[in-house]
Amino acid sequence: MDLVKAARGGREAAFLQLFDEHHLPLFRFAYRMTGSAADAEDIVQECFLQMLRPECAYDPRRTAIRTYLFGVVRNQSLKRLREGDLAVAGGRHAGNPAGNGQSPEDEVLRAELGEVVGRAVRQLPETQREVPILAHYEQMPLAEIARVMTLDLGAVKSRLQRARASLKETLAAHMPGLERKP
Amino acid sequence: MNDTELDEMLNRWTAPPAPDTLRDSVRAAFPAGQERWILARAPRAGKRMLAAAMLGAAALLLVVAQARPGAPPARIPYSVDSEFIRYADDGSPSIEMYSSSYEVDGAEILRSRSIPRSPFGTAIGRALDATLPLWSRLMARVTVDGKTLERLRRRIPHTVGAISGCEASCLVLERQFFARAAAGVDTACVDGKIVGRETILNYPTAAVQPHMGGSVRMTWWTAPDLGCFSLRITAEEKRADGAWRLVSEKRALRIDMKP
Repeated sequence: MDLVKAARGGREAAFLQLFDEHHLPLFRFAYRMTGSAADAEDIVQECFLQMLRPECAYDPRRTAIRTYLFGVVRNQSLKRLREGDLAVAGGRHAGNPAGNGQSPEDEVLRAELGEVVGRAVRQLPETQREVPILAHYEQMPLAEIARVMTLDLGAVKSRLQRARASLKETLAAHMPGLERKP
Repeated sequence: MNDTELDEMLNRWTAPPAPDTLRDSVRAAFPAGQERWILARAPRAGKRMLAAAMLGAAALLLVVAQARPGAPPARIPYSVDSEFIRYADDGSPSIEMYSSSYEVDGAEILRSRSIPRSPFGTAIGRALDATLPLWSRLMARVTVDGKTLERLRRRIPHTVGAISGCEASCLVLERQFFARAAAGVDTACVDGKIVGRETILNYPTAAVQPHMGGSVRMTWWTAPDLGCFSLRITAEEKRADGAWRLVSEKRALRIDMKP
């Protein structure tokens, strides 16, 4: 049975099944877009509630639910970023757990490097930021990214290429090993 | 830096796990999700499309009225006189409504209300207050299936509701319902973040911000000793610069224990 239809019909079990299947990648995506775990939580909640609203235009015959949900999270994240209240340049949440068996120095270094990478991704222009997040971290096929962003495939490829080039340039100075050279 | 090295670098940035509370928040919002959305944004919706808001709010009230059966109690336990204030963009206040009400089983019951300097609006509002529930009951029978209604009824004990204001013309009341805080958890009535405690008109209250998300924030000062009546409610919206702007406020003026 169609879970979305069942959820809209008031079946809580169907709604929760949808939530359980999709909320983790959506939360990660929202967090990486906004840099805030609290905002990511709000966005994901809003995303699932939006699906239930009468005016929701989601059509399961045309779009996969995952694509639709990512699209909602994307729009909500961009809206918040445009409102200008998010710490775009840096994360508010330390999202890099310490590695096992590493020295304190390595752990600090790892955490710092994670923050540097996060900052570099979030400092990408808005039009480039989403593509590497979806492609690299969520392993989403480029064709699906195109549907989430309502772009053609060529534009997605081009944005990914530009984003990766920009990241290489930004992160080159922080490559492990380089920072320990005298 | 080659592609492999870039991928290795990108892997250094991990996301935190989704908080355990997220599932509970979404689940709590599920049965009332559509209704809450309409109500939470009613101040703006009311300005933009009064007719739609009236219709939506009326349908909502009807469902809730249907799901909250029962006649008024034989004896009204207490009565709270409140004023409702709307704040303009420049912060200037204007009183848009006075009300007298009480709380039973987590639902605020209106006794009477008036719109200052508008006897006509007061009359129309009172007429709507009296007829909307009836119309709503009729509509609910047509638009809401029995299972949904039953599910709503089962959820009612787990919610706390209040009259939070009225739409632009003040003819139709705005009501909000939020999940009730778990029993024994502190003294808050509404599930959410406790942001303060305050004694209002000699009754201790907990100020709670229910989880709403988006650019709207509400704070409820609920009094457990008055059956979770909200002695104060503020609604704020986020401005473009990220600051919160006070949009409306409900404030208790007087509590009568022998109405």
